[in-house]
Amino acid sequence: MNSGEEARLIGLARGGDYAAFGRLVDMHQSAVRAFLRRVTGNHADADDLAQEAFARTWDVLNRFDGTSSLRTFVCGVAFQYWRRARRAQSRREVRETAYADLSDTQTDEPPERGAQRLALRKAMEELPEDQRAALALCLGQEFTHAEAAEIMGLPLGTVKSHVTRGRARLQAALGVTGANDE
Amino acid sequence: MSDDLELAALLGEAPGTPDPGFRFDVLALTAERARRREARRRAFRTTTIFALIGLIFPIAHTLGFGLNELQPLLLVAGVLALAYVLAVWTLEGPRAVLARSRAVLRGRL
Repeated sequence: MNSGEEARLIGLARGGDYAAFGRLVDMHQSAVRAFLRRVTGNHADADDLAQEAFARTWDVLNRFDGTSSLRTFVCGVAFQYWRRARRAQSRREVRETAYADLSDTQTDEPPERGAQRLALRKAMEELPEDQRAALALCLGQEFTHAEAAEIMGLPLGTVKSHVTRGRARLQAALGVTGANDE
Repeated sequence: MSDDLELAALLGEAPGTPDPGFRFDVLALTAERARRREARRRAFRTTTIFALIGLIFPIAHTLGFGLNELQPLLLVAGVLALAYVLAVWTLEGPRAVLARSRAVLRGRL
């Protein structure tokens, strides 16, 4: 879908057209859900946050000025929701184990891949908040570094540095040689 | 394994195709939030109106007006309130006489 069509749908959604907003949700749900799955490590939590982010986007659609893409805008909202949810979670001191998360989201995969996933998830959870989000945005090549910087409200150089360092730590967790050489 | 896409896939894969169930959940949540916001707004408006009506008498008393002096004002206010209720009932009531016209207007706006 081209940007003209997206702009038309945004205009309709601003006027209260739920069908147009539904099409925008379809266009961008993949990127937003992937980002949240990577930062939370749990599909159910990720989808809950994604739904909240889209619902909030509907409320603040009038603030979207079109200087960035709508996908970037929604991910910015999702990023804020994730940070808020993370703080609330740490306040409650509720932490589910990585094993429980894995059993919730992954099935029918070889055990060695499950072990890699677990090691990666553990390494991911040890990363600082911003580094984790930067990686989640940029690793899947769904977002450029510039878009990630815009979503997170950080300088471009900082995001690049987060991605480079974070990637090295994830590779180290998987036992990839030379991972710390970068 | 050092490939970024492989790392991304291990951390959490993007849904391949748009999920209609997800879209439905988002729209349901959006509508629910809009309904709650509208209910809050209505509750605030109702509370404000009744508080202002309740304030008329103490303010009038403070300013030295009695019931006789206030009678014409109260009569006009009562007629206006009745007209408002009738208008709202006509637009949104169970028979919704003007509901179609309202829908057309809303669609064009």
